[in-house]
Amino acid sequence: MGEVSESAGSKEKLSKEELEELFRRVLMPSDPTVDQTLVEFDFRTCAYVAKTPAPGIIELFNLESNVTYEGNLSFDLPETGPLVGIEEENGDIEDESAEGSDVEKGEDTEASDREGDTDRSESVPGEKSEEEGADDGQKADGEEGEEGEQEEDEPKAAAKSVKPTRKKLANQFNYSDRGALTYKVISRDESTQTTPPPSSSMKEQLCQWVIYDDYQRDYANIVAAREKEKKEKQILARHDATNANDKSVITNNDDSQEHRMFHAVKIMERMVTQNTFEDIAFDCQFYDDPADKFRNKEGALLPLWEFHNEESQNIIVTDIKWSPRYYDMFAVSFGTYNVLAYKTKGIVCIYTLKNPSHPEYKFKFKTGAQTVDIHSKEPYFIAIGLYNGMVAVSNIKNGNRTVRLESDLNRKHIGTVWEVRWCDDPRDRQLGFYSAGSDGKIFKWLVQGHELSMIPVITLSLEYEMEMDTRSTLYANAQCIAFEPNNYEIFLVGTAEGLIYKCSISYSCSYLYIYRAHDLPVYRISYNPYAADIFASCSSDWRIKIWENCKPEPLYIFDLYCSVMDVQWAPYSSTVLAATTSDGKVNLFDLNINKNQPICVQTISCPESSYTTRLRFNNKLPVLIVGDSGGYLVSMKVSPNCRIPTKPTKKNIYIDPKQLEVMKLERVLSFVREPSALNERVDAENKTQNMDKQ
Amino acid sequence: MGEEKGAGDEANKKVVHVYPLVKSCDMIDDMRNEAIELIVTACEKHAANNEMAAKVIKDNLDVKFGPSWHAIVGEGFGFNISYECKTLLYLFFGGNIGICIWKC
Repeated sequence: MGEVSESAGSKEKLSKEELEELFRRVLMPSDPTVDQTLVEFDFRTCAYVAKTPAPGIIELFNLESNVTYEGNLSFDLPETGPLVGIEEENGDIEDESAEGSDVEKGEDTEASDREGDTDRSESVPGEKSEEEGADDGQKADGEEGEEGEQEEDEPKAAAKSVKPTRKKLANQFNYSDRGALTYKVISRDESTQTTPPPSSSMKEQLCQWVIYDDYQRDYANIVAAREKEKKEKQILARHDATNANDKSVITNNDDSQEHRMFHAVKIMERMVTQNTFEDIAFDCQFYDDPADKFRNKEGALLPLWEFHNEESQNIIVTDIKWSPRYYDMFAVSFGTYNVLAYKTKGIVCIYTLKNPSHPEYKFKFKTGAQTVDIHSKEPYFIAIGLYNGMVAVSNIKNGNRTVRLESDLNRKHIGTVWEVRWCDDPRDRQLGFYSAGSDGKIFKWLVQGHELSMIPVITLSLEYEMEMDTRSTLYANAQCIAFEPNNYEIFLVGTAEGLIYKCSISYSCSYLYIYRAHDLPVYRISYNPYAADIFASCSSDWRIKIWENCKPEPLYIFDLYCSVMDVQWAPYSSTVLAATTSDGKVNLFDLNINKNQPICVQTISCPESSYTTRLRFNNKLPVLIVGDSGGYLVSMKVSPNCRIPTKPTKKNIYIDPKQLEVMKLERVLSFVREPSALNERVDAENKTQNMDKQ
Repeated sequence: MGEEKGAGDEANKKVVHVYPLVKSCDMIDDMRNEAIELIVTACEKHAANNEMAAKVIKDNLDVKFGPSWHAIVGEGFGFNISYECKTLLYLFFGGNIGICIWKC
């Protein structure tokens, strides 16, 4: 700069040559404004010492690089105050650093120009002209432009300060850092591992003998298993066999259940029948025929319940027995009187008056049941005599499961059993009963556990046949048997031959007495319940005979003009007896009232279709039951005239009624006891009457 | 066949059993039956060569039930193995050889 100003100052007007003259100017790195010859006084040496100029280099930025800037260098300066301040400082610093890089220097000059401007902002334009004058022509245009701009800027600065600051331009010197940090993606390794399959371990030692032993053991096991299977099969087979038993047991259980059901049903039936037959029950208990008052010494029978069963239809009622314990219960046997009816069915029914529609118990037999008896002390034992000569005993104690004992083929009557009677022999430990068969034998049977043991008591032989010099012995055909009420040893046997044998169980060969009683079979013998030596017998020879013990002639003979099927003394009176005849009538006698004729005759069944067979007085009620050949049973109430109670005379008021009955009977019999011829005469008279009638 | 002869010698004294006797097995029934059948055929085919039999058994098992089967065939051996459950079969066959197969 100094050199330029020298050249400009030295020549005012230049010629062409001077203008065209080339001047070489060299830019020196040294600052010409800096005084090179400064000295300082050194007080130590007391001399002037040349002061080395401070190196004019200030390193602001040092970039060692190959990068060169290629952009537009021009930029607008901000005109803000503070920026200027900063520029000034920069300018000061740059002033000191005279030496720098080329790029720096260029900028330094500009900076210094501005410095100059700002420093001498109040300086007069004359100074400017000086400066202009100092600058060479080349630069004059540019500088002037610059100055013009700056001059314009100066006044504007104040005005522009109000304006919003211009946005900074970014260049390499003027920039603001703006950094952005992106997320760093963290990469991870991920791997999965499945659980290994379950494993276990095993160890074993193997050698030949182990193999051999194992084979032996296994074979033994197989053999054992086979045997076991066989056994199981056998057991199964057996089990099948036993299963049947189990089933039977089960059915038994079912039976018990059924039995309970049956019991309930039975109660229901009882209730129904009680309602249905209520009037009959009242009749039985309370009704007395008022007509009896107007009848003169005649009675009547009021029919009450009828008993019949489908199964017993058209089978002959062969026997009736009241239960000694339950006065409303009775046993009936159904059988046959036919000689060749071997295979008729037989039934024994046990009825009660409470249920006339159906029997309580029923026992069926393949052959006719000819007789039945109920034990007096153990009324659940029922003895039954059968058509084929056998006897049976049933125990009805345990409900439906009745125990039935039957005699076997080796021990039986050869012929029909016509009557069985329980005996109350106190010497017997077991229950025993006697049976009378058509083979003329009387057997005693003992119930021993589940067996019947037989003891022959007596064989009835026909004595008058013996007299006829025949070798063979004929036996009586026993038709009925009756025990003396107070003596268990003495009994009477009525036979088909018309004889009545008086026997004792103590003698098996001889008889105590033989009554030549009837001409035809004796159907029934009945002891008087009050006098043990009086008994009645009935026969098919139309007659009822009343006998006294061991008297060959009967006391009374009643002829009924047809075969008399049954006769019985009434339990309530010593002089009343009833008989059934084959014409279907019931005849009731009271010897006290009428010694010749029955006081009551009542037809029970139609003579064409059936005939009455058996009758039986109830022990307690004034009721008798009559059975007929059609299987029907009728219970009948005896009217008051037939059961007139014995009135004690004034003399013997305090006598026992039983004794009164005995006395009454004695009185009645006393008429006929002596002379005996009287009876015969009566009989003869009767006979003649009968003959006349017929 | 040679083993059967040996078995025949034993038969003079006692009955020798040659049926496959399974000592221990935890396979399911189908697999077990197939394996036994396979072993029986292999051992009958290679009666004199246990090694060959074992190889045949192993190869067949690998094909049939997936790889990594192991087979031991021999008249006397000891082993302590860990095996995948439901894949062990240890049986005797022919009266004198023991076979153990397992997968691991």
